[in-house]
Amino acid sequence: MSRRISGTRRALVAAAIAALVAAAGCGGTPGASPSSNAPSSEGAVKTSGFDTLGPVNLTIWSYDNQDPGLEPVLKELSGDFMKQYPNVKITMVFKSFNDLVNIVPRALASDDGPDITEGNQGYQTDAQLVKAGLIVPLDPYIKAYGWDKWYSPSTWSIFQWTNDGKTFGQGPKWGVAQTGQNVNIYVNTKKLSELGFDPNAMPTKFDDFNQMLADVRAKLPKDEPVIEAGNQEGYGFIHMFGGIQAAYVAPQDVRDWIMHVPGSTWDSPETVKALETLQSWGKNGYLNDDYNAIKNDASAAEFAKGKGVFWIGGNWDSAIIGQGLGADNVKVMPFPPGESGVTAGIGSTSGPWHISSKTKYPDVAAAWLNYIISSPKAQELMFSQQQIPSVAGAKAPSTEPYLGQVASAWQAVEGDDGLMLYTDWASPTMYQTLASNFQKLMADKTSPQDMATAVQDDWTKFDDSLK
Amino acid sequence: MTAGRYDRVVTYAVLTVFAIGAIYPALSILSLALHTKSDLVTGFAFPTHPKLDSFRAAWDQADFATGFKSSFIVAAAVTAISAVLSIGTGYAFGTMRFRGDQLVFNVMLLGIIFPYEATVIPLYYDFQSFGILNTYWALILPQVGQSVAFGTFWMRAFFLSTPRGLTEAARIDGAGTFRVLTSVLLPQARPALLTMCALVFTYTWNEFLLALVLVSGAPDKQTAPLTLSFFAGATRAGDPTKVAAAAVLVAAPIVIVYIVLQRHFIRGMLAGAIKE
Amino acid sequence: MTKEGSRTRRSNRAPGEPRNVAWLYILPGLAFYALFTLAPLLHTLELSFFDWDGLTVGRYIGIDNYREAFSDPLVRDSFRHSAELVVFYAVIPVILGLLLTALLTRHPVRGFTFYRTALFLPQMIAGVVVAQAWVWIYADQGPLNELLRTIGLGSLAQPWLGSFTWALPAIGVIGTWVTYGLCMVLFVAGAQKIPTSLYDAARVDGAGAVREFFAVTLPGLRNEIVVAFVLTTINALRSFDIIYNTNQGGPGTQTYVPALYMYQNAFVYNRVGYASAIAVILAVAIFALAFLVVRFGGQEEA
Repeated sequence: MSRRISGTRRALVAAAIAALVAAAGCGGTPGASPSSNAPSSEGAVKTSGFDTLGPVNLTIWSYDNQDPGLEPVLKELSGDFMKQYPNVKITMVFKSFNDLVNIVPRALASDDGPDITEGNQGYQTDAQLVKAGLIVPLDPYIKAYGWDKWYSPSTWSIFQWTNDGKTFGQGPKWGVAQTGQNVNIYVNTKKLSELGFDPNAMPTKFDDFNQMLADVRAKLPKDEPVIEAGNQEGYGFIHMFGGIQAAYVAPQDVRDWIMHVPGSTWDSPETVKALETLQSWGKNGYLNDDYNAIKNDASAAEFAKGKGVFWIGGNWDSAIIGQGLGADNVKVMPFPPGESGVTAGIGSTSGPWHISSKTKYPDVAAAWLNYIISSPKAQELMFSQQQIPSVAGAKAPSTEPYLGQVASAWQAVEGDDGLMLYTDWASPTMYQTLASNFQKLMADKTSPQDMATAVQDDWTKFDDSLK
Repeated sequence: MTAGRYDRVVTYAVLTVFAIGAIYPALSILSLALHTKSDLVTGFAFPTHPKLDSFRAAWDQADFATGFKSSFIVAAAVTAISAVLSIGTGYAFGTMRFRGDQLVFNVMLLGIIFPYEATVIPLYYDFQSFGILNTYWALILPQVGQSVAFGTFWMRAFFLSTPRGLTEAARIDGAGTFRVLTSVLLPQARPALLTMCALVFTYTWNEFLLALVLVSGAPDKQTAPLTLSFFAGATRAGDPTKVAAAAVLVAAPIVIVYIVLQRHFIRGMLAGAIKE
Repeated sequence: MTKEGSRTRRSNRAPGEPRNVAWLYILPGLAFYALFTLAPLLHTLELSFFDWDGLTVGRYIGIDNYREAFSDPLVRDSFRHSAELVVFYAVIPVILGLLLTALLTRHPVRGFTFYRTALFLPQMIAGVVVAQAWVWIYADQGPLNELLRTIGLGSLAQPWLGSFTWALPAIGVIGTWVTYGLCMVLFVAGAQKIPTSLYDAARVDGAGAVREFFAVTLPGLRNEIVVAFVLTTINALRSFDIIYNTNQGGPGTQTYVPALYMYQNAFVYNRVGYASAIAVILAVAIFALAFLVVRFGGQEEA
């Protein structure tokens, strides 16, 4: 009797262990069945006639959640699109930049992810999406709609990847973007003139601007910041640094480095000098004390309430600032050039819009993209929110001087081929590397040289894996 | 006598300080939530004119209706399923002896100190290949697994404490194990079950990492804590009152149930801890 | 419902006799537990031997992930931060709990139920909510800084969660807040089980409050202390919710913890194999710590 029981028991235990191991190892080699890379539109694409498709549901994700800003633009344009095609239902989901970018690859890989979503240029996000076949190349739509007129070839390059997601700047085009974005210097002209400076005579050279900061610091009460900054997400300083770097380094060198052109480096004496300058802004007390606790958009809102004399950040926050301070009290300018005389700074287009390879309605998605980027209504709405359309030839209404400033700032940089893109595109971990190093740099916990080395090490480690 | 009174006062004072410390943060965000952004709250501001605007705004903007629905469905399902399963396992471990019972029980006990964070990675990819990612099941199944560990331990303790005489009598009358369970023992289990259900419901409601990994791709399946996290991250230009209101909304159901049932909650956690 | 039609003859056996029917009752629960808790852990172990981005095909690389993890300064820092958090999550709350228990054993208080309810509240609140509450407390215009300014210590006011020196201790304080009530209530309840005869004997021997505490209360609470340490230490090691929702490991890398780094590697950097290795190391650390605390704490009740 006991032997029989023990035999049964042993069999049970063996079965249990086998089941456990099977359940545990049921992956085999992980990822052995990747989703196919085939674009879902073969042959000619449809650019109209979607009303015959029956009910269409589009879920669209975006991190352009600034209001005022692009959020109301996207909502209104989607409403228009739905009116034009009553069988189409659009659900817009807005998330913060970090939240969206962190989950978008897995969301697209799932069966109920978004049909259209923003990604992020660079190796962290877009390269992954392309490599895993999660988005479709947009070339058929570029051809059908004539989108090639939109951007210059060097701007198109930021949307290009080879199919293996390894080479940036070449291959099919995977995304399109709504607005031209760059990092400007915003000046509270009222405050500046109260301190005895002439807002109409802003420095035209970077060194002079640097000196002006020191002069303003001397005149401002001690508890007020010269520059209101917000770096909680980590990109605040990345953006601020771009313009400083541009004063010392040629934009093409930075672009080459981001795109892993062999032999490029970030660890150069010029970049180290630029880092020293940024660090000096912290040491000389130009910044507000709580910059690490405030989000970037929030710091724009603080500036709009009157904190600080300058705000350095992206033009997607122009509306917040214009509304808060009053459009007549703000001057918008790109970073004054360094020795080279080239006006340059961090900038590019806004986030790239992608079409999921799992969507059932790629053509409808493309039509939506076409509408939100190039239609006259879209451009009008963008301007009304102080955003600059990215497509060539968009003209700002002449009745809006503030908007004209924002547009000219963008055009000055774009015209000098000075758009430096975003340094965090350079590797999947670069965002984190830059964010933590900038925080350390500004807290004097690391030196400019050590930071440059750390950043270059990250780049090299990733570069090796690309070979 | 005065020395004794002095000591007593000190004791009460210390207790009071710690008690206030424990509830202060909750009061603080509650007070913040009763304001609106334009009040420009600083520090601890007693709401002289409490407004519910922030609550309304947070509820609508963050779509807490969906968040609450998801949280409730998941928590209720996990509670119900784990309760049933734990009754079974607790009954077996508590009233029957069999080969390997000590070993298997100890393996299940491990579940109480288990590092669940280390399992989210394969859960994600396995659920994806089985097509249940971004569904309620993705949240329910693992949490049932987790809760059964505590549930087993807890119900076993209950069954161990039931008088043997009762079950013997029932058996002699010819009742099988199932009948003994349902007719004789379960009717006495109400307090124990209530405690277990309260705790499992709470832990499931409060779970965050699983939701972040397994359902962030589906806005209609997001649980309340996840909704709060996204809302707090995305809320523009720092509107702390709305975020505070959202936080209060997420915590409120559990806190209310806790205050009503606190005896059960505490009993459960204490006995669970001590007996371990 | 006679599953045991064949066993009716055995119903005359005294209950507690070995019964294989027990497996029927256990299997469903055990299956859930094994499938969704144990099996995934083994699966994590398996994944840790691969280089995989979660999207395309993985590549077997043996123990390279572990080699990298042991030389990765961020892994080391993460565990170091966890160790520091253990002081806040475990050591301080236990001490506070013992302190309160010492007071209460000498001077029992009426209406302890009310206090107990308050003390236990932090355990009931979701980590995300705790994070939001404390982000406000530590905010520039939040209660802490305002209090400092009011009492004239305004120079100390700062962005606590954004400070290189104070971010980790600030998180630690949150952890202390979450667990001290649990320890207090646990120890007080445990102390009530200590036979008063022991206290009487001590007093007869002329022991003062301090002696009484060390001679009677502390040993009597041995099991509770062990349990408290196990629970709170593991809590410290597993911390994710609060850090993710306050400063995501910043400023710089000052508040990185293993669970956060694991999450980032798996779901942000798409380095699933490496993340799995970190997860395995974390799991081993947790089991080892629990084992050590229990062993070191002395005999457990069966």
